[in-house]
Amino acid sequence: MTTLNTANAVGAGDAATVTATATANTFHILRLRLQKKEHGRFISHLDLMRAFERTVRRLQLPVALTEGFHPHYRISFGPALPLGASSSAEYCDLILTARPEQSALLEKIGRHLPPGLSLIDGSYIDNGQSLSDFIMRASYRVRLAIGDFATAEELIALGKRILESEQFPIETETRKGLRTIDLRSGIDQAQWAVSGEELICDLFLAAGSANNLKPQDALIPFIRKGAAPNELHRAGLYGKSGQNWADPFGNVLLKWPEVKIEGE
Amino acid sequence: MAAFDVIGFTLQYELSYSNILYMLDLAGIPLQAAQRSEKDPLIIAGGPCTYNPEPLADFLDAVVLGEGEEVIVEIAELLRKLKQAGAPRREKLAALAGLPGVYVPSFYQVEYAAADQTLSFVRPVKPGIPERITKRIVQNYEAAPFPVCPPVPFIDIVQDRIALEIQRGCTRGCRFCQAGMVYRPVRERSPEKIKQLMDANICSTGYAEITLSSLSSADHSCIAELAADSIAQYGASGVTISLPSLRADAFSVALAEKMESSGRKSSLTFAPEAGTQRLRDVINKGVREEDLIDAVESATAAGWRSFKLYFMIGLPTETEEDLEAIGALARIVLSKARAAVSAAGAKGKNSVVTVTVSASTFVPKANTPFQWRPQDPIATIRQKQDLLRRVVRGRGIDFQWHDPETSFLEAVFARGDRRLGAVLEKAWRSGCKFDGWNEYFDFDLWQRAFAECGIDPTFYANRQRDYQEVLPWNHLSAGVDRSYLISEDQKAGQAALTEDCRTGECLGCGVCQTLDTQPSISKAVDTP
Repeated sequence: MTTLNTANAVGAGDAATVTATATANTFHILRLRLQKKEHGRFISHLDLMRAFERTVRRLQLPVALTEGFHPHYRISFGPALPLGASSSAEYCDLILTARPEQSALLEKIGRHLPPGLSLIDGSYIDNGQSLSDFIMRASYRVRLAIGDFATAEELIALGKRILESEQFPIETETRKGLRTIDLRSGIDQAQWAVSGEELICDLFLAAGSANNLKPQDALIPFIRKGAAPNELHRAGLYGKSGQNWADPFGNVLLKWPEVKIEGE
Repeated sequence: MAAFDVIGFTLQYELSYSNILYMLDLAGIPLQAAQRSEKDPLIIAGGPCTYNPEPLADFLDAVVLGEGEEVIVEIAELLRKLKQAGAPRREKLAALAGLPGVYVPSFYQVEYAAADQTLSFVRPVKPGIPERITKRIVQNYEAAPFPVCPPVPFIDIVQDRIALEIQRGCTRGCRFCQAGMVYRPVRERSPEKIKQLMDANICSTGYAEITLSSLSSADHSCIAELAADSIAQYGASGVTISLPSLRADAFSVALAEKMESSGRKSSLTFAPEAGTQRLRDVINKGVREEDLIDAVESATAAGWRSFKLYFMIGLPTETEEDLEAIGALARIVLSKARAAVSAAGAKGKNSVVTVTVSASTFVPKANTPFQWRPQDPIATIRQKQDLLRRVVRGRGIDFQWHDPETSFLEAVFARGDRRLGAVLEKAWRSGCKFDGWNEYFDFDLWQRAFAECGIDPTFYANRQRDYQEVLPWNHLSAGVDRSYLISEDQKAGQAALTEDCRTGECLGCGVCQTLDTQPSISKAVDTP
């Protein structure tokens, strides 16, 4: 795979100082990593949250409730994924009022998730940041059909041009209408490889509350050149651990993430 | 779909009939039962509209009257055996006709009188076919199977919650209400059974809302304890409990308040159905103005600010005075609610009260005391709606009404006969579908279909029928005696009330004798 640029681009700044989500010792945070595959790709972010909440209720887990007249389970999810994308990085935090034994609990949750969703990993997090405070980067693998309007070389040259520029403004459609965003500031790293009629792109993008680039927006210049995404997969979510990038369980990345998709 | 052995349709609403033809066509199944071959599935219908399925007689192989829990198993076992034996379609239909509660329309012959176009007779074409089909009920409601593991969709659907049926039937005896007549007798599930089903459903689905459904859930003799217990058990895990409809009285409001303990209250709906006490007595709707005011005052005190009042227009014996009284009642509700709001010292946005009046059009239904009564012609309904628009007005009052054409078509099919089959097919072929949806409903197409078939729809909707007339559904019984329906219709003429049979005394509607059963109430209580 041709690495075009591995230097850190303009980032979102260091993570906020560590704040414990659970204010009292009586709460226990169980962090889970879920996978969306096959038909699960067509479960939207809101539907995913509801499906997970129902799974938890079926199991009658000791989840803490929000205050107020309409109490809800205290469950928080990482950043939303576009509908149609698969993912092996759907993280969520479950705030529990008790601490059931971890492996049995994980086994139980994994067994009761609906088809299309599965549990990859999970662990109690004792001194962590909330997912929304922690997450700053997301890695994606996109398989782009090259199309008839541009060659693979031209698409790679376009990618190179984006990474070498100071700014790369594009227009994108938001709920509030057309808006110009700077693509460059949201792309940390990217690499491309040609595989048959497809261009395989691995993207390491800004994600989270400070700066966020949607993968579908990152692809706009390529789509305008006739490329069409065949598949979009989120491989990981990351935040800062000291000077390094780490996943939400604290596993430090020694080099920038290799995208691994189950089944490849 | 065509690969199934049997396909079942629920006849929930007359205006869904065109969609049944549409679905059959999309599945590549011949529309007419007579044209189906050995390889085609059997098309069976159930549901409330089966108490007059005659307009669909051409399209249905069989119809099941009444409760399905037991008969559906009998049908499946019978058909499985016959399929294994390689029995032809005709033999399967004959076997189905032998099951109690199953009606096979093709085994009946109908004839019309040349003089007035009414039915001369409906009778079996061969021996061994019953002259009269009586609905089925489950022998033991408490033990009847209830789904505890329903499919749970990912997307946010309408009615995205557990609907737990806590009782069947209703004893209020409103004379226009088909459900109130055909689902008799009233049977309650015990609180223990309800809690057990609730638990099983929550554990299998994970739903956060349960509605305790029935025709009149506040009538369940244990509803107060049931509500309190369920909230105590599930409230802490974020599960909300709700009731589908409310009676207009303070008891029901207290119940709703217990369940909806939220800060912001949505609107409350009551159904007085008619504007004057006289007309409410005619339809045997046991709601008094005092009850309604009581309900509104307690609801306002509990925090509700928005009320919906449902009325029906075109009821038998209705006069202008009854319609004007709808406006007066809406104003009384508004002023009582406003007084209660200012007494509570509410200010600003929280002091704004709204009353929405919704007026639907009366549709006489088969197997009710009003089955002989005419529906008001479309022009009359329009005049009545004009009058209502003049009298139901003012700040804080909103008025909603329905297209009279829709209700007219509903009335035609609700009491239609087999001659409407041709109209239905023609209308569907000319493009009618989703008739229950305003954006699809095309009354002109329907009128053309009636004209082309030489059928006058007002014959079905707007004609006063004689007690002696052979009605298209005469051979189909919901268990309630014809003589009881007649006596109820006559009492309506005198605005005389009929009691609720929950209070103990049998009213002689005949359902318990016909079906060899009895009402089952968990706990004897004084009905409010």
